[in-house]
Amino acid sequence: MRKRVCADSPQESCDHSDQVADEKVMEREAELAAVQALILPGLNRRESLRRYYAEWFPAPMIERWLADHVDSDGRSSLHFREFSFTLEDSDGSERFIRYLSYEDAATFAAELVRMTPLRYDIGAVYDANPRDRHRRLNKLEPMERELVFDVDLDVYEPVIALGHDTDNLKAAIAQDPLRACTENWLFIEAAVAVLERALREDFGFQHILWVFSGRRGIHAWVCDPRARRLSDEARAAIVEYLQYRAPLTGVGAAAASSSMSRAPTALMHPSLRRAAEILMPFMDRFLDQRPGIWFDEQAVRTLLALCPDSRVRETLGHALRRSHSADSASTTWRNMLQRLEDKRLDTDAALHIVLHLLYPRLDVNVTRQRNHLLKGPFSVHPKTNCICVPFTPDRVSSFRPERDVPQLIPLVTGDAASQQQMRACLEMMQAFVARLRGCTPPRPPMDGV
Amino acid sequence: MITGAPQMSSGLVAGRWAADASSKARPRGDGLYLTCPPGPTVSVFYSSCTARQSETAEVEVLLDRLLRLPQYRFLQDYPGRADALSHFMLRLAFGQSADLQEWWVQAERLLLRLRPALESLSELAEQFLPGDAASAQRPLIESVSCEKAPRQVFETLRGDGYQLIHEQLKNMGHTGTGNLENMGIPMFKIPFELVLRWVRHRQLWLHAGYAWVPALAWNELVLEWFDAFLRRAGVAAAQRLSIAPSSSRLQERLSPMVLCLRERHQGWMRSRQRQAGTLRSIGSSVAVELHLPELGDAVNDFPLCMRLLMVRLQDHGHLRHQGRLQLGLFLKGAGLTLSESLQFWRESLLGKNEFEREYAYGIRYNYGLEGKRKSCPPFTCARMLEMRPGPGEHHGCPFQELAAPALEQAVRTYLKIEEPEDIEEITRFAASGQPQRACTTCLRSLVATHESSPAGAVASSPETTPVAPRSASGERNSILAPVQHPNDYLAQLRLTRLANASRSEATSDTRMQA
Repeated sequence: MRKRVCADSPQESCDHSDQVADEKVMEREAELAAVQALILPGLNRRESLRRYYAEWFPAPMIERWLADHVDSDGRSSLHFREFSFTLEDSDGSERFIRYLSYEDAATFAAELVRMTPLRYDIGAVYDANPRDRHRRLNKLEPMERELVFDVDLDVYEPVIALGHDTDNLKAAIAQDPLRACTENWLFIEAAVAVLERALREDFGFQHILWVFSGRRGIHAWVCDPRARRLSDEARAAIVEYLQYRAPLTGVGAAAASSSMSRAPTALMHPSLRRAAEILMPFMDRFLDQRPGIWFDEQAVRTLLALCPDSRVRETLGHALRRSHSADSASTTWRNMLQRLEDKRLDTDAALHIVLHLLYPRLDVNVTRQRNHLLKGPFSVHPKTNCICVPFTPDRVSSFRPERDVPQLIPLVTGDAASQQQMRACLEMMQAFVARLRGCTPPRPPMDGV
Repeated sequence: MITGAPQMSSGLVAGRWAADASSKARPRGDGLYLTCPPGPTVSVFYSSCTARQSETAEVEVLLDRLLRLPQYRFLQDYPGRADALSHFMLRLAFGQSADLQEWWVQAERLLLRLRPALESLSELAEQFLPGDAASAQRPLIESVSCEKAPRQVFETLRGDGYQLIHEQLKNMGHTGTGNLENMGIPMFKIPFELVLRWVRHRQLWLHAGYAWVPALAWNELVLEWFDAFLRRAGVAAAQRLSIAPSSSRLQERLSPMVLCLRERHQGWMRSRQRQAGTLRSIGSSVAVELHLPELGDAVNDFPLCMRLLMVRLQDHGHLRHQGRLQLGLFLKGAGLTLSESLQFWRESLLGKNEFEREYAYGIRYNYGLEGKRKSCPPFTCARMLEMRPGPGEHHGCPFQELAAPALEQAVRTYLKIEEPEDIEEITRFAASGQPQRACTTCLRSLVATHESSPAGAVASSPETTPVAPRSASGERNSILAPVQHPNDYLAQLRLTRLANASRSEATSDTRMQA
């Protein structure tokens, strides 16, 4: 069994010793794996979690990531940070503990091993140690918190269902959420592309950590000092800024008939226009995944109803009826747009269709409040047993949850592929933290051992 | 520095400053109450406080008319020192509790807008620029860093940014067209944290964490900052008073006055509500309390926000968290007991076996039986306007969230309002960003329909009330207090219906006797 990485050795030295250790254990690995395969299938979840926390969980890295300064007593600011654990009781029910806090990485790691939570969450930095909250006169006030965003494919369901057989889809999702996630990764890619640009260009943030949430979504942690200090109102305003609202929404929307005229579309904000440009290529992919979509009357009606201008809507419908059935769905779409341009109509109206389908759908409540908890990186997802690993935005298009995410059981039972995936993720995190804390990474990320 | 601004500013500050002696003595910028002058005698103090209180009260009521008057007499006669002192006293009295504070901040904002001394608020805003007044004792907002736009900025603004700023200028009543740079409008670079309201509505040009704002917008900006400053200062002042020892001279002198001012304010609010005909003065009368058996009928009297949630709940058997909260608290406020609420939700939500685990806790929590054991009040309109729904969510205010055709459809289908004039007014208010006035129009229209219709055939069948014989202009202009709370809306409508029913009963009785 390989003795592991950052959990018990200081950050800087671990990489070197790791390399040596790697060589040493190389030849024994196959042998060990064989033995473990015999012993470990009997491992229960608790035991495998314990192994994971002891051997793989990068507590020092998490500390370095979360604690940005050292206070006057020489302690890191980690001990004012709230953690929470979800524990499994012996009878199988789940228990949730809030307001935990830890002095440093070592105690945090020890507690993880001792309590073996199913998952752990990270909260805000408070003005006092959260464990002391009952001993204080005033309420605990959140002081700092990363700006976090949550994109979950659950909210995309109506869009995913377009041009698909709904019942089959639901069954498929229930059966294999990871697979469903891989199939609809397109939406996540689009969300990452749009949010990256908006957060960097509009708000000037630099350090954005993207984390796979373990099942059907992703989280973004914006770690710039300026982002950490934002008030709740500022977070609400930002998430509102990043939200797209279709001009026609709500209960009455579907019923609104095409004869109703509308005022010309209001000016489109530059950030929306940029998003629409980013999303255009994704639109082609979206359509090509659904070759029959333009023949599905229900879907066509829904799509055209998203367009706020009735003249544009009619032109699009007309162009659609005249299109060749041999064309691919995306070609048909391009032709429809071309038609709009030929008639010198407002193409912005058509962009609303793209925005409605593909613009990131955020869970606003996660972002709005500083004291909201969010599953931390390298937590384990209790339902899928996937490790919540970070990924880089430039690789998001090649990232496939099914393939690239290490899973708890193979990882602790010594599956070489899983371990390699995990190591790559740890390096990625290491590089991110190093950049955030303003020093160069100890060594460039390596692929493989 | 911002030379162009005062002349071009929107109609915000119309009057010219009539200089009186005391104002000269006041340092520039004291219109924003950064420092408190030394104290006067209690009697002078009290009289100026009550004057301010009633003036702000009057302002609120008479704003429309006052704005049209050429002279703001009461403001011009206002001596500077009494002004400052009375402000600080009201800050002490009203800073503490949320609803008093809300009213007070709104009133102070109004006064500041009307104050002729503020020929240009932008001039005052310069006080907070790091340059000349960096040493201001307590800056309004920490670390405001603004700079005049360098030439390159206009280049970064090309395309969409340019268009956006033009739009912004148009909204502020500026008619100039063409090259921004040639128009000579200075631009300011402001950290986005200071202009959240505009960020929220995606109304400005953001670049790398800074907003570029034309100097014309200063008036609005300063008001916004002033607002935030007052809220913080109000809380701080109230805290300081409350920790002063109770036997101290400070407490002896100030506490009675603080209590008296609050009492006065509440009395005034009560009488105003009674005049306006809202139901708070009647108390929650048993007659309008809603219970589960009547729910089916009462749904027709629900305000649109709740009506749509009910429809959604019936159609889908599910509402997301905020929607459940909004509707659940509303029903609770309307009179449903805990067991009725539990029954209602158990029947409405699909997935019954999850009910106990997923939802029952939340309902009991709302009634103050779980968690921190505090009975939660129903949401006010202001609160609901803040809660913008995300995708798949249906809470919030429909007059704000729905686009014109969808809204019209909803109003026709669910509220059964057919009067074309009313529909037009509703959509116009909604489109111009005045959702509460749109809702008030709905209420007024429904009340009128009830009052003119024979009992029994009320709102559920609008066909029977073809042309409501309303006393044309007179009734249209009758001021109902704007809807502030969905429960008020419901109570008002139900009370009208009850009154109507008893009235027609009475007439049929007399007819029988005859």
